[in-house]
Amino acid sequence: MEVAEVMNRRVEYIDPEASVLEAIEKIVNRRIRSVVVKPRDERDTYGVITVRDIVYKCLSKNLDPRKIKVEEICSKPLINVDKNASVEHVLSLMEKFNIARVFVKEGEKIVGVVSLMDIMAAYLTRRLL
Amino acid sequence: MRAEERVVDYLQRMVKLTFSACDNLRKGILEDDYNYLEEVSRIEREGDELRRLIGSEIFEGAFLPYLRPSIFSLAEKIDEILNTAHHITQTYQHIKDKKIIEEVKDEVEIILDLNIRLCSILSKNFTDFLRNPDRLKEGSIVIRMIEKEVDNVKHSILYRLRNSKVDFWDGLFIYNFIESLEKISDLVEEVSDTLQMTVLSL
Repeated sequence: MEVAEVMNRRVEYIDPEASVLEAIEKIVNRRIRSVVVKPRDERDTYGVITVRDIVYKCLSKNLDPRKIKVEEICSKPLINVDKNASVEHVLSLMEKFNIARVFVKEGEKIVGVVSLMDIMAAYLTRRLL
Repeated sequence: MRAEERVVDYLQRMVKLTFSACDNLRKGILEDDYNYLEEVSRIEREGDELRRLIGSEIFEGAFLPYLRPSIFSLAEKIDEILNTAHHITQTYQHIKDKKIIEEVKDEVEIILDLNIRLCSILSKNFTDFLRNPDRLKEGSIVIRMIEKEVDNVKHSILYRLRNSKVDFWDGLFIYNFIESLEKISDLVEEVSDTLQMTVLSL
C-alpha cells in the first residue's frame, strides 16, 4: 500500500513567528492535530507543531501561549517521505523516531500527512474493499 | 426467487446506486459537468422505483411481520442517500458564483472521495453484512471513522468560508451544498446502524 492512498491531504501552515495561541486556534478551528511551521528563510527547514508540543512544552509548564512563538517549541526537521513510499516504510520511521505522524512530499511540496490513525483506518478499509 | 430474496436483491441494487450516485456527483462537481449531475437525478428516480418495489413485496407478505418495519426503514434510509445526492446536484446548480466553491475545492474533493469510499464499503459488503454480524461490526467501525473525518472536513470548510462575502442566496445554497455533502456520510452511518438492528432481529 502506498502512502498516497492513506494520507490526509489537509495540511495547514503557520509562520514561525506566530504565537502558540494562533497554532491552537488553527488546530481547533480546522479540526487537525498538527500544523506545519514554515521555514524562516531559505537555509531553514520545515518544522511541525503538534498538540503534544503545545501541552508538554508550553501549557504544562505554565507558559503563556500568547507570548511563546511557534518556532520556540516546534519540532524540526520534519520527518517526511515521498508520495510513492510504502506504508511499511512510514511505520518503520514512526517506530524509529517515536512519532505518530509523518509528512508526505511530492518534490519539494508537502502534499499530505499520515498519522497512525490514518494507517489503522486504511488497513481496516482495505479488509472491506 | 422468494419474496425475501427479491427484497434483498432490490436493497443490494439500491446500495449499488448510492455508489454510482456519489461517483457521478464527484465527476459532476469537480469537472463542473452537468451531464454527470443529471445522471444523479436519473439514479435517484431509479432508487425511488426500487423503494416502491420493496414496499409492495413487504405489503404482499415478505418477511415476518416483526421484521418488516426495519427492512422498510433500511430501504428508506438508502433512498435518502440518493435523495440527498440529488439535492446536492440541485443546490450546486443554483450557486451563481462558483468561485467560492473553487476556494474550498480541495476539501470538497476530500468529502466527495470519502462519500464514495463509504458507499463502496456498503455496496461491496451488503450481503456479507446481512449474513455475518462480525463483518458488519467491523464495517460499521470503519464507517464511523470515515464519517468522523467527513465531519471534521465539513467544519474546516465552513471555517474557511466564514469570512467570504457572497450574496444571500449564494450563501444559502453554498451552506446547503456543504451540509448535504456531509449528510451523505451521516446517512451511510445510519444505514449501517439500521443494518445492525435488523441483523440482530433476524
